[in-house]
Amino acid sequence: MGALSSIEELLFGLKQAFDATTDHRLLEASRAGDEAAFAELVQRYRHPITNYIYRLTNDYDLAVDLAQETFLRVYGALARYHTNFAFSTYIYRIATNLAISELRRRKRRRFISLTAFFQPNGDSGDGADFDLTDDRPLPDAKLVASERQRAIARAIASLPEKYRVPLILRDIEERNYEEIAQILHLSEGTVKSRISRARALLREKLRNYL
Amino acid sequence: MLGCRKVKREIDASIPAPSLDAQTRRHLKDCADCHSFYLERRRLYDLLKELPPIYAPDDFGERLRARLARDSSASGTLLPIHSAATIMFTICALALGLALLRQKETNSQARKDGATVATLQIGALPTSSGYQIAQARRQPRISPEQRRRRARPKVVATDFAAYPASSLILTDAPIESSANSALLFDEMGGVRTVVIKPLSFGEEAMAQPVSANARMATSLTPQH
Repeated sequence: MGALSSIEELLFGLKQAFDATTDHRLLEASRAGDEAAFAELVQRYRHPITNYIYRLTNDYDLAVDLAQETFLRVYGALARYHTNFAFSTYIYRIATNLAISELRRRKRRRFISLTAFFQPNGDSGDGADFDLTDDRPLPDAKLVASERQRAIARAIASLPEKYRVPLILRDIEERNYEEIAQILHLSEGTVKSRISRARALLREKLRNYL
Repeated sequence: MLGCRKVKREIDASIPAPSLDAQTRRHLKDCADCHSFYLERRRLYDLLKELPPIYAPDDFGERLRARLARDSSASGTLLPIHSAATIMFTICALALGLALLRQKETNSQARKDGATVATLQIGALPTSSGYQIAQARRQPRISPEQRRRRARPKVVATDFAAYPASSLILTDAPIESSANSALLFDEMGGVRTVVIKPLSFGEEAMAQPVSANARMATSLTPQH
C-alpha cells in the first residue's frame, strides 16, 4: 500500500515536470481550434491546479470549481496569450487570483467563531484559529497521521493570505523563487522574505509536531 | 565567518534542496542555534510533504467541456443583448449631443443679442422659460415711450361723421341684392359715400363683420 502511494506520488511529480515548449505548442494548436490539444493541457494541469487551490482554500468542492474556472479563463484568453512566460506561470497566476478573490469574498461574509473568544491573542490569521494539538492517545497510527495532516492543513489555512500563497507555491508546489515572483507580481526578495515569515508562523502553530 | 542571520536566510532559501554550500555547513558545525534552526526547517518541510496530493475528480474533463459548451451558448444569446445595449447607448449619446448643441446655439445667439443667457436644462423642450426668455431677448430693444405707443390701440377715427369711410367691405352678399342697396346707390347709379357707425365698442360681434349678426347690427347712414 505504501509502495503504491509512493508510485502515485512519483507519477504525480512526473506529470508536474512538464516541458514548457510542449505547453506552448499545445497552446498554439488550441488557438488554431484543436480541441484535443486543449484537452491535453487540461489533462496535464488539472491535478496540480486542483491541489494548489485546495491547499489555499481547504475546500475540495470549491477547489474543483475554481480549477474549472481557471481552465475556462485560459480557454477564453487563448487568443491573448503571449509566450513571454511559461504556461505554468500563467495558469498558476490565474488560479491564484481566482482563489484569492474567492477567499476575500468569503472573508467578508465570514461568521464569527465562538471558539475564537476563548483563545489568547496570537497571530491574526485569515481563517479561524483552532487548537491544533490533541494530546489524547490514538489507537491507530493511520489515524494519527490523518489527524496530523488535518492539523497541518488547518495551520496552513490559518496563515495570512500574503504568507500562505508563496509558502504553498514553494513548499508544496515546489515552484522556484523566480516563478513565484512572476506569479505573484512580487520581487524575489519579497517572496523569500514572505516564505521565511510563513515558515516561522507555521513553526509556532505546529510546534507540537516538530 | 558568516553571520547567523545570513546563514538562516541561506537555509530558508535552500529548502527544499537538502544541500548547503561549504561555508554554511561549516557555520552549522560551530553554531548550535543555526543548526537547530536548520533541523527545524527541514522537519517542517517534511511535515508539509506529508500532505497527500489532491486529485481532480475523474469527470473533471466532462464537466469542463459541459461548462465550456454552456458558456459559449450563453455568450451566443448574450450577444444581441450587448448589441441592443450598444445601440441604446448610441441613441442616448446622440440625443444628449443634440440637446447640448441646441443649447449652445441658443446661448450663443442670446449672447450675440446682448441678452442674459438663461441656462436650459438638458433635454428640456424649447418651450421652457429659459428658451422663451432667450427668444424674447432677441427682439431689438425699444424705449418705454415706443412701447407705450405700440401698446396704445390704433384709432383711426372716433368721429365717423368727420372721417367717412371710403369703401365698404362688410358684406359677403352681392350689394345689388341687399335690402339697403338703395342707400348705396343713388338714382343715377352713382356710388354714395357712407360711414359705418358701430353700435358699441368692445362687442365681440364687431370682430365678425362678415356674419349676418354683424350686418344686422350695423347701421348705414347715408351721407350727402
